[in-house]
Amino acid sequence: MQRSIWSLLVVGALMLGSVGAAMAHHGWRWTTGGNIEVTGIITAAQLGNPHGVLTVDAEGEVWRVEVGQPWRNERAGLKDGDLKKGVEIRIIGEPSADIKDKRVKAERLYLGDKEYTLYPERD
Amino acid sequence: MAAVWSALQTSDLAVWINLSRWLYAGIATAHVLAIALLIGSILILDLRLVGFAAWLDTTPLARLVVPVAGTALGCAIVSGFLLFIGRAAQYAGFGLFQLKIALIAAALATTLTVHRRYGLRLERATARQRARIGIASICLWLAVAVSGRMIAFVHG
Repeated sequence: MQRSIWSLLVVGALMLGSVGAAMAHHGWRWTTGGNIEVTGIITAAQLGNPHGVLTVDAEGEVWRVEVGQPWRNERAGLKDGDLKKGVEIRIIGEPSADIKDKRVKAERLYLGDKEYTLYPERD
Repeated sequence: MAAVWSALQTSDLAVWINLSRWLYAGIATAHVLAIALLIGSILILDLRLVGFAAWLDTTPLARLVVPVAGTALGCAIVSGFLLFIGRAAQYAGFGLFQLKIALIAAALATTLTVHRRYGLRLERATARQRARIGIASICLWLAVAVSGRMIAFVHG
């Protein structure tokens, strides 16, 4: 039985070790809790599951903007082709807690004057 | 390979999955359930191989667990492939995804080697060999699941 106790220890250590590396991505745990505004031109749009990602050039600063899954974007009133390369966009959302990361998760966005709310329950 | 990933993710099936709400949710759920069944069942056999529950005969246990785990693995591979094709090029470029595929290959190679040698009659291996097989199996399959789960938290 000595051997089985050792092997359980090995497995336990492996599992514990793996948890430490986690860096949140889905959800809001990786963001600051406060909103920022980013305005720029979309240079790339990858939409679809598990959620869409825009690359936005904000006067030379490149931001990665996380938008919704297809159903969330559609619910906000966005149509196919609204989020595409060359479109000017203003985003309000929570940035990554590490500001050097230049990532923001959009709560709402503006194309021209029109507002699209991805997360109505968030301010 | 870039042409293959591109062909996969522009296929009708991939586009359909990528834009759907509940189909994608259903496949992701099936993937989790298949992994739960795979890890859960294989862990039982591995614990026996390591030396737990010495009163339980290994062969009848293996005859139950191995087909269940094999079916679960098949379901996990199919659902995983369907999740993969939506963003094939992106996932293929992720270090953790590559690690996961390498770990699956290693785990499968270990499993197939063991069953080619002993079939389901694992008691033909010595106690030391069985313990080694059990530990290797637990570590590899858990590492597969952990590396897969971490993709969403590390890359993106």
